[in-house]
Amino acid sequence: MSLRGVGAALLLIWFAEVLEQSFPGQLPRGAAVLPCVCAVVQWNRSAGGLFLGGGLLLLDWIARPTTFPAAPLLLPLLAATTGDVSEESSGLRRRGLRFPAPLLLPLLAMVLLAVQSASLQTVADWQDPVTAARSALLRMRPALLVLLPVSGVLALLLQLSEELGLRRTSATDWRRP
Amino acid sequence: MGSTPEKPRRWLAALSLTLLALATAGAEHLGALRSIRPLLLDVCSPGRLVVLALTPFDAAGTRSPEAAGDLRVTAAGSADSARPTAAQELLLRQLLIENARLRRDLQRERQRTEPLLPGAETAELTTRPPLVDLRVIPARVLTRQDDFPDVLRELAIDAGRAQGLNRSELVVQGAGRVLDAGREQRVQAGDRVLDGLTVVGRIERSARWISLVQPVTAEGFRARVQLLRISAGERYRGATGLLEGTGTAECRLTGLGPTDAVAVGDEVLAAGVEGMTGPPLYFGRVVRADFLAGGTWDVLVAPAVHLDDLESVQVLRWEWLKAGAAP
Repeated sequence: MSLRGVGAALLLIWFAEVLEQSFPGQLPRGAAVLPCVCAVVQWNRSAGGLFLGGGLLLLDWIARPTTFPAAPLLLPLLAATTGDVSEESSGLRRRGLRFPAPLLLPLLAMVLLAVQSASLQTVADWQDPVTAARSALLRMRPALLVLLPVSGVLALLLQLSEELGLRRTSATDWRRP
Repeated sequence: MGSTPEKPRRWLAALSLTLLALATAGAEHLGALRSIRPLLLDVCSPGRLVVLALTPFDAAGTRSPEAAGDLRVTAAGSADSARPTAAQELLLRQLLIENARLRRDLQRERQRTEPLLPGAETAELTTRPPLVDLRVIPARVLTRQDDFPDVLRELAIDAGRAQGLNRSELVVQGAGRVLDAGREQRVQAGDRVLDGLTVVGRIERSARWISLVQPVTAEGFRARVQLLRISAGERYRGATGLLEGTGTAECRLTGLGPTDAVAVGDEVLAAGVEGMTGPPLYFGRVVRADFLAGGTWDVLVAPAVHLDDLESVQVLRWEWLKAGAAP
């Protein structure tokens, strides 16, 4: 992972964080940061990218703590499960959970948003799971209105960059002589 | 070929991050991350300020509450039970950022104005080697009338005689207000008399123990000043001129060119002290600005503070030090 890539990822997530903090009503928590973190992880399908995205999400949690760091805990596991790339003689093939590539980023962001919304509830709230879940869903709704378009655009950009050869996956790195 | 070497590395990274997140959660639970949080939030402060600056004003002249960090506006679902907690967290975050910014501003302001704080016996504008000695000498206003009361005069003379002093060393003659600081405290004619950073007059004459003050509104008072306009939070320095006392409650600003821009509400600052760039001493505000038919300005300035309203003042004294004569 190049230094330029790290810088760009830091800038992107910092900007998303700034926007979320500046417009807390219009951009609920996670609506901008989570798609950007997922995009960073998806862009660099490597241990470095995973460290970078997960680390930044963890820093976000330290800055704005919730009841439990559910999203920083889940992101590495989900990313490692869904982003496992192997090489076969016939070409590239994903192992583990399989999703259409453009859907992977929005799905990942949605799952992270769900667990983050759940972690925004206090422990006492979860004594009544139905009410807590309903409250978490209500909290997710405005965030989804932003998260889905943002993650969709980012997924398209990722796909486009891959098609145009602007992105280098770890597998292609491996195949280089 | 089987799986690439990237696979175990990714899983190792995921496992490490998971453990790190768990450790972070534990540290947060123990309160060990409280000192880091403001630093992380401060990282976003520049961006937030830029966003705030770029946010357009609404019709009422205020920024949107979202950009201004008004947390009373919450998203849909604000009626749920956990919302107050989340709002409090957000409010705390905003306050931490604001607090850090204010602390930084206060520190800068202190560094700028510390040499002029009342009570400071000696303050130096420069560090090493000092070329100028700036003294702020506290003094009490003994009289608020132009006449020096006979009772006070006799008291001063009697006290002086007891120490072998003669009359000329004790009493100053003239019109003005009297301060209880004189040459004994190194107060000399021409020194500015301040109330904080506001100029209220100038030492006209000084005796051994007392001094005579010429208020800014007195006839004969003159000082080089510069206009300052504050518009949309920005400060614009304007024309320089001469502030003259008129004997009334207001002063007249002269020496302005026909092309100079003057408006009611402009602030009047000292253009310098003894020709040097000094601390930003304040005089007052323009209350009338008429452009006369002859192409000249008729500008009246209302002093911010009147000497008659004060019981204590500070005398600002500049003194050139000899080269290498550091105290």
